[in-house]
Amino acid sequence: MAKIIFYGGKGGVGKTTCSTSNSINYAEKGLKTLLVSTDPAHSISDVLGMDIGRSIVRIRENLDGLEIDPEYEAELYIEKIRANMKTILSNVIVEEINSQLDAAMVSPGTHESALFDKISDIIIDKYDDYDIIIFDTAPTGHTLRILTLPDLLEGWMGSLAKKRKSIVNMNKMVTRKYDEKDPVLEILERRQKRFGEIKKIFNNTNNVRIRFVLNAEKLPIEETKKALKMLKQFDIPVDTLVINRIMPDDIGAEFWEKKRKQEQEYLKEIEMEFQGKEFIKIPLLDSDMNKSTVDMLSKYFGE
Amino acid sequence: MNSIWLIIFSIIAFIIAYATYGAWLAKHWGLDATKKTPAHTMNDGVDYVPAKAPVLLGHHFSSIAGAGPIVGPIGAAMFGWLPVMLWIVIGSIFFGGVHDMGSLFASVRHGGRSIGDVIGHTMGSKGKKLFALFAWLTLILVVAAFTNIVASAFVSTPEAATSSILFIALAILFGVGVYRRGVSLAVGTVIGVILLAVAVWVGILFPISLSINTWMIILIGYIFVASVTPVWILLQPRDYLNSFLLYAMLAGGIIGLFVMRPEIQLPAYTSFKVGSNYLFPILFITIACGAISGFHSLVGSGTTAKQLDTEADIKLVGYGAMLIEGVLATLAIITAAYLSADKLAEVTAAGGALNVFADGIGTFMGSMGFPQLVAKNFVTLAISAFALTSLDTATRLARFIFQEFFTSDKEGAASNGFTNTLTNKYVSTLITVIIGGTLAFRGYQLVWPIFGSANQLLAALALLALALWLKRTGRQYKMAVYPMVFMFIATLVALVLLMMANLANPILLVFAVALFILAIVLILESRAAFASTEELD
Amino acid sequence: MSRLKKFITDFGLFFKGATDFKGRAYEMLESETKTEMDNFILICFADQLGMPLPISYYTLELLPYLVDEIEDWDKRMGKRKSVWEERWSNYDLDP
Repeated sequence: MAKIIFYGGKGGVGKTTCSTSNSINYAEKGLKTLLVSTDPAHSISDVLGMDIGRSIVRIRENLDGLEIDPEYEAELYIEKIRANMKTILSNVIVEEINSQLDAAMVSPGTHESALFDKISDIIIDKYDDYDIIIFDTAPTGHTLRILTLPDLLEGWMGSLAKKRKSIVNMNKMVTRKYDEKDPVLEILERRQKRFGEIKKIFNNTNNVRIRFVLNAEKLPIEETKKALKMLKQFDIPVDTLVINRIMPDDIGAEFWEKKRKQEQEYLKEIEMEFQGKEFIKIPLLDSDMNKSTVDMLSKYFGE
Repeated sequence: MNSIWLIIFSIIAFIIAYATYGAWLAKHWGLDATKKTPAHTMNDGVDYVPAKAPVLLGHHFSSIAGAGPIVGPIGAAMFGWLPVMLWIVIGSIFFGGVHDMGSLFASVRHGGRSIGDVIGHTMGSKGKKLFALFAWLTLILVVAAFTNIVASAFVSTPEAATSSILFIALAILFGVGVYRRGVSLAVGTVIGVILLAVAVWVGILFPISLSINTWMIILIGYIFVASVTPVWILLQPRDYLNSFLLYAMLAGGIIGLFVMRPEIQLPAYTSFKVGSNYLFPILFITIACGAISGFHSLVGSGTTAKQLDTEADIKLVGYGAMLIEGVLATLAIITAAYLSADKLAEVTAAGGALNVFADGIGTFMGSMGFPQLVAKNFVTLAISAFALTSLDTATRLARFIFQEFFTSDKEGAASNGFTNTLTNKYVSTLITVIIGGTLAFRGYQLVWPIFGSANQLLAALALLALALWLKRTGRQYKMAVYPMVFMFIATLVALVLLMMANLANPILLVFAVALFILAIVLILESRAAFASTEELD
Repeated sequence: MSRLKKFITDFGLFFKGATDFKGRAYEMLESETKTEMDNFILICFADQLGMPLPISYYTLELLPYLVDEIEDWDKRMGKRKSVWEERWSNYDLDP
């Protein structure tokens, strides 16, 4: 049973570091892991010091990586539609409709929809290929809202398919052509089915885990509180908090010792505020995370 | 005097009116045969398609003709046939004809859009809301009035009840066979017509006798179920098969009339006060369809305005159709006029206006050799089938208006995938049916005048919009104002009398009061609108 | 004489229009289908009207197949705020 882990958290808390380390940990344990980044900043490539692109690449043994580029995915999708149009319609009409497709590229929902589409594809298609799939999400707090989409979209698609079916039936009565298949209905039902599949996977709480990353500082704690509240509204449970960049006890120097003491206070606050959750504590490193240091934190994710 | 003279008189009067007043209206309104109509400027090959004038006339006429012009005149026959005839003729010529022709003209000049748009254009959104409200109230009253009428007919002619039930089954069979399964229309029609004849025959063998209240409850249940089912199962087949019934009946009736040529026995004029009804205003609101009816503006401006080939046809289609309906109303009054006053009262008491009509046409056809009972059953079936279809449609239309205006801000479609629509459909239908049904139990005598009042206030509103538009576009408009004023006076007086008569009936009282208040609001709106001097295109 | 002939032809046309059996048999079905189709297209391409819906991205796929309907829809989309009057022509009230 593959597990799907979503990593969330505000900008700058070290999400990419944590998700990468986490995936290395699983890989070392022998679990076939896929690390997927949805962050347009391509941070995973930076952290690992290798080019992770739009197709799955082997990072190391048991660990594969992929970066989703929503804009690219959207373009791909629209190009496919354009190609399909050319086979069905005359070029004159294709010309007229082209502008509508161009407009779709810049429409507000396109980015999120394309992203969701690709995530669904990965989950459904690669489910059996990997033991763990980890998603490193973009810093915007709404990204985890993607988890509510399957239910919403399946409902919409279902209603639309139902409407289309009733139209097809009525049309059959008017035209007296009772045997014709309707490609639109087929597409709608196919989509509905796919959303249903994803919905089933997400709804099984054994399959999906969400981990929120934060630092033991005032602002990240406050932001985490707000984010969790919002996620709760969408019925998205967050059961693990990854507290990153905790200063080591022997940090030395009065300045840092003061900061460390304050951090300890914040740690206590975190443990009280978010009681009942699992805490994974990650220490602050004395150097940047890069290709050679990337293994250093993986052991903290050992379960 | 022979009743044929009534038909001859009305036809001649209408022909003269058509050639004179109709032409006068066309001239003074500036109907322009050279101006391209929406059927040409917005031709889309589907809705906006020019149609030949006679065909369009036929289409428009069949849209506006219904049970109204039959029930109204017979219901007013208590005052004698002369007042009825005069109102039918004068009303159609100077009131209804102006209303219908004017609404059509205004619609055409507004891009083929409905009269509601004209109202919105001249009176703003307040006027439009009023219009919707009137339409909704009138539709509910249609449900009330027609339910009662059909139930009464079933009581006096239980054979027709059986035949009607069989007709429903037959319609469903047709719907499933022809639409769902693909049986050819020709085959389905032939089988349908044969089975209709069988239904008439079986009805005579096995009449179903129930009390009027029982029938009304059954009818209310039927309306609810029928109006929420998809159209292909019941409504569409009914509407289609109805036309065969109807035209057969009309043909039989008219031929039979000319064969029998019955003498008029009813007095030309009885008295100003009959029972608790005064000739003014009761005569004028009892006969709505057949003289002036607000529904015509809505029914016609839907498709007719979009299919008009040239403005020169407006006279024929708008004015002409109303006059033809006047002839239909004349036919109806004859079925009452050839009876003596006592006999008329007797037949009316047995089953209402519908019974009088069916009895009459049945007798006329009987003179041609048809067994009278068969003919009567057939006519009752035809008219009640018509009325039942109207009930179904009226409920659906009322539901649309209700959903659009009276439901709370539940934009169901926007957020969670249309699931709310289901609830709304049944709830709003239920509301319509319950209100209409409850009113129906009050009886024809009380409901029909309120229905007539509402229908004519609807017409007054359309006339108002018409007058405003004519005035503001620099045309002659007084010919629309005088009928409107008369309508206001008649309906207001009627509503006051009705309110006084219905102090013990809360729902009727509420309706009468509501209509009265709305009429006042409308009058105030019109004063304000007329006072404004802004020019319109 | 030709006037009489025309009158008779017109009379026949009047009856054809009044009865219109073939038309009547499908009138309501056609109107309802059109109405349903309009609503369907509205939802599929609400994005084009400036109302992005969650499914707008996914209904784009349907564009090639619905081109014909969209053209008709475009023409009918005049005023959608108040539609109850349009519905009158979908049915036969016969008051």
